[in-house]
Amino acid sequence: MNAKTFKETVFDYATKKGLKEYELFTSKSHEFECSVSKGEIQSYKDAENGGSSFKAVKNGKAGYSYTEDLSSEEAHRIVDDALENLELIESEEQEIVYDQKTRITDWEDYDMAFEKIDPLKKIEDVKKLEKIILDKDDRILMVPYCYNTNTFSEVYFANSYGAEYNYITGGGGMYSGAMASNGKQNKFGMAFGFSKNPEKIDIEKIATETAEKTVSLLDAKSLKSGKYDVVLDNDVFSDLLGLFIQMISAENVQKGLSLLNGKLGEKVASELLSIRDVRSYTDSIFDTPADAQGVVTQDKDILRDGVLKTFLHSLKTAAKDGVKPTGNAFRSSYKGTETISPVNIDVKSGLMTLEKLFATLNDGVYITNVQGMHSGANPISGEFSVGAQGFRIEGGRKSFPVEQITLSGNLLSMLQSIKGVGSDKKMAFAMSSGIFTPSVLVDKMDIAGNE
Amino acid sequence: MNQNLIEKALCTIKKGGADFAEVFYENRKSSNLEMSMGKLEKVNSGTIQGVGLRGIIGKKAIYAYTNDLSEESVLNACKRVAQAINEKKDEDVSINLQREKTENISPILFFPDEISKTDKYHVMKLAHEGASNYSEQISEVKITFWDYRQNIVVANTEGLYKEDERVRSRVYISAVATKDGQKETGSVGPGAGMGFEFFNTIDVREAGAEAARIAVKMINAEFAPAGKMPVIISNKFGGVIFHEACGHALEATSVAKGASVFADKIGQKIAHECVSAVDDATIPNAWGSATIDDEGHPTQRNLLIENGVLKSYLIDKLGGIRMGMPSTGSGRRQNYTFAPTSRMSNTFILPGKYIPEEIIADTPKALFAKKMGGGSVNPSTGEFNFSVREGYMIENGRITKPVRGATLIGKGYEILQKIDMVANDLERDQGMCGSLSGSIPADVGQPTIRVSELIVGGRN
Repeated sequence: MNAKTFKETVFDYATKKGLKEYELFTSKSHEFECSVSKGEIQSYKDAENGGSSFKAVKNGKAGYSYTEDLSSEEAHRIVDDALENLELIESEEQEIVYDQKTRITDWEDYDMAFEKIDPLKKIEDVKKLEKIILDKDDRILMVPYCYNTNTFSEVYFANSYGAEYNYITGGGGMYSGAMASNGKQNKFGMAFGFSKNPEKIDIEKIATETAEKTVSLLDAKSLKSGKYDVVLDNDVFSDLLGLFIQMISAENVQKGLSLLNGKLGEKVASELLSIRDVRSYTDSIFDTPADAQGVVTQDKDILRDGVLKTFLHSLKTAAKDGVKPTGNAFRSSYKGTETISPVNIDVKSGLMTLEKLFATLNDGVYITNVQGMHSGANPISGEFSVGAQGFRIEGGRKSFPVEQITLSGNLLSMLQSIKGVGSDKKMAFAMSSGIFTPSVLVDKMDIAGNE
Repeated sequence: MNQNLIEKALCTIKKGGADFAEVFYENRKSSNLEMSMGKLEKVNSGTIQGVGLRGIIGKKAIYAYTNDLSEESVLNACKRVAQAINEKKDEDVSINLQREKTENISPILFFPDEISKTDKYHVMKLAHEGASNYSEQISEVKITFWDYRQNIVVANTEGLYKEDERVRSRVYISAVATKDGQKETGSVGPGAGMGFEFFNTIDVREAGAEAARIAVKMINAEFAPAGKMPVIISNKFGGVIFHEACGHALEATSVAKGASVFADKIGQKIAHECVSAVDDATIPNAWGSATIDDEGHPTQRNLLIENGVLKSYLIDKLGGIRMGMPSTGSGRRQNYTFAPTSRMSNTFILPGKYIPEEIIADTPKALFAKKMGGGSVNPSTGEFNFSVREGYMIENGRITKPVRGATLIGKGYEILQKIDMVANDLERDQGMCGSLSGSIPADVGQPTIRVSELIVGGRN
């Protein structure tokens, strides 16, 4: 049956079971992905699936159950299952179903522009991307990653208070990673372009960036261990902001898992740093009009001139703190439950070009890539130690490429030590929320190398 | 999904001009429970059911999936695969599936979907007690309980028709220690290819205490020093070093494209002669084991490195076609929404001749990585990184003070040559491995080893 009929069947049965508060979150996703290697299709995927998650709330406790089979038997099963799950909950924190008849306004659905393109054209484009990269430089031996991809997701949400809406999000783009060699050393670099609008995907630009990033790292050396002033490239700063994003989740704050606990209204970062969470950003494929609890998303300041303005809230955390929900309780899929995350993180640009940042840095390291964020960085302690690459900056200019170093520090100390913000804001290669940030200049970070 | 529809699906793809077509049906029942500070906070459970459809033509593969299992929807998805193959049509196609029964190498006593969630709750409660009672410095304990029962059918145009059942159970304990406004964490996550009986084979309370012990040890530790130094890596999860530094670069995914530092190196010495390693998916009830892989090929014990010499890669069907080599039973995927590719299962370095204490006594100054965290690698450059969750300094052959915050980096092909001592205390540990075909359960393992030098990312 369709999503709406399934919802009615589920809600009828839930009422029969004596439930008064409940939600149904249904989503359907389509993904297209093709990759090439040496002019041949390497992988090709074109598919869709979907499912529903039922959340029952009784006496302030919630239980969940999901299915991919929208049949009447399953409609009954997920209600019974969620009820059984709910009975086990001991937490005294009050679960809430939003008592508003939420509808969506000021929102334009993704127009499926990528889906309208012939798959053969997409294959041609990604072959072209690979060829341009290979033709750029003889030292580029291959392009191990060369993808053309697009997705859309249709979400349908309804709750027992009459909230009901559906919306479509999505977009697409291309990304490529090349491998170059000087005979002794292999180097890898990648670049990408994503948008809601296919016309914004610039194959030539992605190819040029991929090739330049890869070959410019050849002949890299390690450094002597020590404290260095650094410029963090916009990609690198966005990776490190991943830790900050977990620290501003009100759920983590309330559980004592965030160093920002108790810091609302305080200056926690350099006054040069301002960060917003916005529901829509040019080219972002993560724009969303409402969260997975029936609360519409909203633009808000997180950091203004270094001062912490708000945490990101779900209904539950907002009620606990006595504030309004911020529309940040999302589900990555019907298989999971809500987690708190931003929609699009927007870091305010500064005035300095990258060259100006190097000139100000004068003597230090320009970090262009970090590896191992998922294991070498701890959002609870804020400590990180990750593998890094980049360039030595001497006399205000790039001198030689750098490899086999680590970059270590504490995220909050790092944010306080920001001495310059670039004007080079760009989109990060992100998985669940958009991140748009410029490069930053940071004082005295720990670098370990081979001496 | 009935055999008739599977045959129709295979024929539809084959008629589009595919050399080979495959159907992968999956039904999976999962449960997921979360406890915070001893109170059950979230309980979620559910079922996924869908089918993955693949056509291979020459060296290219086309993949589609759907979870609408009606004949119309499945055959439509097959037609999309056939269209994308875009080859001349093959009109006369028939398929003769040979249903084959294989005995499961991992017998199950108590299936997770037949055990009450209250029983699972009791396991979590024990883990919580073990962690929270360990020390007053423990400020938060989070327990996640996770299990599933997966039933699959794989069928292909070579006539293969096999069924398999995989069961996994795991409890993950994460403890936070707080001191003077600073926080450190410790975690353990024992799991197995077993049902609920797994929790009778381990001491869950002890596992909780172990997570807390690491957190408390680390909150009272100084930062690790920075720079190049010898590193002794303890057994169990220490094996993540081999998994990242070598294992991923032996997967056909990288090797077939020539995008691996170990491509064309079979028969060559790539590691110190004290290093021998295997990938073994046949260990009964192990976390990364299965009777057949996700392409229906029986799993096997693959000797990867013997006395430093490269013996084998990890190969799936498509990788095998691209490399002109047979499958090693290594085709795996997270679920039906992923095309299978070459992956590790239970991968570990084999025991050597030393006892661990001998290695420590033989080392004047080093970092001792007692418990490792995760890591990652770029197979085309060999550059890897992984984090040390519990570290100590070794001075004059003795373990001295605890140190925290260290990350180890290097290049895979270099580190394999620099492993100069291997102990006899082989043990495995459980992890989730992420790659092209999604996130899958995999064991890592090793005895205690010494690496003559690595860059340690500490503080100056």
